[in-house]
Amino acid sequence: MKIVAGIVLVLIIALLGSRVSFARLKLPFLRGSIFLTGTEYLLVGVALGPLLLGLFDAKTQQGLHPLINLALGWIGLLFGAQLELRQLKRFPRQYLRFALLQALITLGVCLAALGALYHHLPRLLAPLSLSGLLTLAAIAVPTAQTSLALVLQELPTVRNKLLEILRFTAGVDGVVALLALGVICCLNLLRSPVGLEQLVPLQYLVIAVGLGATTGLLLHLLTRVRCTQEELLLFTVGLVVFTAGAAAYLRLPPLFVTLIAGLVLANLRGQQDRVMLVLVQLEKPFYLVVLLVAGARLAPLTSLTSALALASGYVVLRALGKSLAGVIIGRLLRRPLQLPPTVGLGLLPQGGVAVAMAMTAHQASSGANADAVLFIVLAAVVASELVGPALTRWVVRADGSALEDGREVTG
Amino acid sequence: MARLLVLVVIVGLMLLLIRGIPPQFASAQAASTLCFGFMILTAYILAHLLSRLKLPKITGYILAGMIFGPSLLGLVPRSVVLELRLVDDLALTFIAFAAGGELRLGMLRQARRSILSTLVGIVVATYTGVTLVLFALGGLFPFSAGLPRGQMLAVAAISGALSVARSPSSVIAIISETKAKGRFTEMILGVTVALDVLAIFIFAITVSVAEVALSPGKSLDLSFVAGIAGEVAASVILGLLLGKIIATYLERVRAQLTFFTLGAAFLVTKLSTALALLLEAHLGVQFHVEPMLICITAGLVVQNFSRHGESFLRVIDRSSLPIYVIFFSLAGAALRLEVLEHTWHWALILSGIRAVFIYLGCYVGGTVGGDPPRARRVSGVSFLTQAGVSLGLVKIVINAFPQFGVDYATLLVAVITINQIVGPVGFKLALGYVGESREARLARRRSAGRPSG
Repeated sequence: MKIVAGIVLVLIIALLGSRVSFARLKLPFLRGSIFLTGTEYLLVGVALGPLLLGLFDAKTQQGLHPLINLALGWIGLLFGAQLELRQLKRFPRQYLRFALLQALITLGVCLAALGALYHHLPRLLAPLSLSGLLTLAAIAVPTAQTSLALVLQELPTVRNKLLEILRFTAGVDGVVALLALGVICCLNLLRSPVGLEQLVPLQYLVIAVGLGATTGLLLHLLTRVRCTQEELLLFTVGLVVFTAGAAAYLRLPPLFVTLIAGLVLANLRGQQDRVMLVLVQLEKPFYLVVLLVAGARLAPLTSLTSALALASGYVVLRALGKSLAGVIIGRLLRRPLQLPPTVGLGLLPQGGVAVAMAMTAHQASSGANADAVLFIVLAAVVASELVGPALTRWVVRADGSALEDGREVTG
Repeated sequence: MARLLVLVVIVGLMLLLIRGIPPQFASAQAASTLCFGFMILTAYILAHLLSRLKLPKITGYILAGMIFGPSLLGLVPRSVVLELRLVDDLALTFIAFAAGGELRLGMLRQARRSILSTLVGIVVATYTGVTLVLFALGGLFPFSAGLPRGQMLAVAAISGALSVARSPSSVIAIISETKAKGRFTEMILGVTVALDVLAIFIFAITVSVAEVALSPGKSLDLSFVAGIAGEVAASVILGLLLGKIIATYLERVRAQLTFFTLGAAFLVTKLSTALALLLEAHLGVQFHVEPMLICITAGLVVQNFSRHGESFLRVIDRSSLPIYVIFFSLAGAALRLEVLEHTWHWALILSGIRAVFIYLGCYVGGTVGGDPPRARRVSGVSFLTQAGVSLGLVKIVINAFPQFGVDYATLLVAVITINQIVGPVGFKLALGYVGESREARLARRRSAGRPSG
């Protein structure tokens, strides 16, 4: 009964919240960012979880697994379905180069730094294990699309190539992050001891990609012929549930598998636009479900001080990685793009994809390592949502090439 | 062709996963999620393919459940079917909203004579007919051969009472699929809803009398009839309240209607159970309100006592597809087909006897009620379906009369299984025959040379 009540409560909050969040609210500086992006639901989840009210105890959270798998599957499919190569080709090639290079450099910087720390000062990073560090490095990559969209809302008359590049990057760098997460999961580092021992990590990866590609193709076949709106919804929901269930059955990350499905669907000629509309309809409630449950999953930590220190270090490392990526790419692509050296700071907002990735990792394993990763990511997301949008605004306005209503503006 | 290919691939994937992966590898929650998605897709695709043979879609959903469920291929294990019962309850109350929403008092008033006479005809003919035939032929049936006359009569009467029960969910699903409208449809729906309540009374009284007949020391106590009447009244009152709440929400808020309706259906189910537990725990009283009746009443209130009846129905219609797919495929998966192995011939005979008396009762009732000849000819085949309510009553029989043995209960379940498969087909054909299905209405317009839009 408690599990059922838990599911109902999560769904009610998510559905009601999807109508309120992401809306134009005039709120004081800093707090506005939190309430506009739905991040407050992390805090609601914390309140409902064992740290405060205890409404979502361990058993209830276990019962929420299917709902979380569905939500993660939905988010993954939606993310992948946005990446239609034909559409991407309409943008200048430099945008794609920037987005991918930025993601790879951020990933590389974080991997190198965390790897070095783990090798030389492992006690400093306790209780994080190698798999946890790799996951954190992957989660450092994505940029929150919502926050950038909100910044754009506030600057409606600014037509700025930099803002365009930032938005494009936010839509694309998550793919690198999710692919990295998929590889990490398949490397058996996050897997629990009971596994299919006869398979090697590469084979797991092939299975994950194969499963995703197959289900993406199936959704394409089902929706290729004109079907009613009810049928479309049924096929989409059914396929997401099936794929997420199959991924979870094989202990593969649903987010990764459905990303592949979405990629395949987006690039086959069919009715993917209609499927996208269906996916977008339920996007907000599912994101809020993930945020709520992520907050509720926060477990009491042995040392809060040490966890906060790790989280702060992670935020700084991520900012460093993004900044460095901006500087390096700015020099590499100087001629065509003329990017300011501070461009990386405009990509700090972290948002929903990061939380979804952290939840995926948390679903796959348990223990102090998994709890620590979740705590660090959630703290980093809150911090990045507090200051990220302001930094983005500053980067855009400070860009010397900004145009407002066709007139050049400075500062 | 594409959908057939998808079905084959999904079944193949499922076979690989279920048969190829060691059970200890996957969690129970992952298995439930996987099976849930599998049932949604395969049930719908199979039903779509079978609809080319003019079979109703719910028959396809039920067949999918039977084929892929634990009785045949075993791709959906029984443990998962039981776990997904939560969805079952939710779907049933949601369907009950639809049933209530389709009951238009104006049309019911016009058809009241037909409804009443058909109702009386079915109850009298089915109950007495089945009872008498089974009593007369009691020595031939394996479950009653060798029983003393008194017990044989009790068994026959219980079978007669069970024969009266039918499935409102199947009726509403067929009406929704065929977009049926008209006097015949309203009559069938009205009789079905009334029978849902009446069947419980008849069954309860019969079981009480049978208990006395089979346990000589026991005295007849019909005070429980007042209890049942109280439960029905309480359910109706709660339904009136719920209907008012829904109507107010439609008037004032009108947001997220689908989720609101699903939420309301869910809360009705859970609060009914909670109320029963609470009353038993604190007052020592057994009092169960009936969620289906609450939702039927609520739907009726919204349709007939607010301005939002049609929009309420549209909301339900929009969300009904996945609900029907899940509900009926799980119903099919829950059927124990192994019971048919040794009892199929007796089950066929019993089903046939029941069908004959239903037909007679409807024909006579329809004649008295002034139904047109076309409707009288087919109304009998519209009342064959049996499902969850009947299975629930069988469980009561097993508990109350363990001396009849598993064979009797097995046979009853076999009869219900046959009726669950055959019934929807009969009703769909009947709707087409009387011209009230959408397909029939369009065909009539085309032949009359009128635009079909």
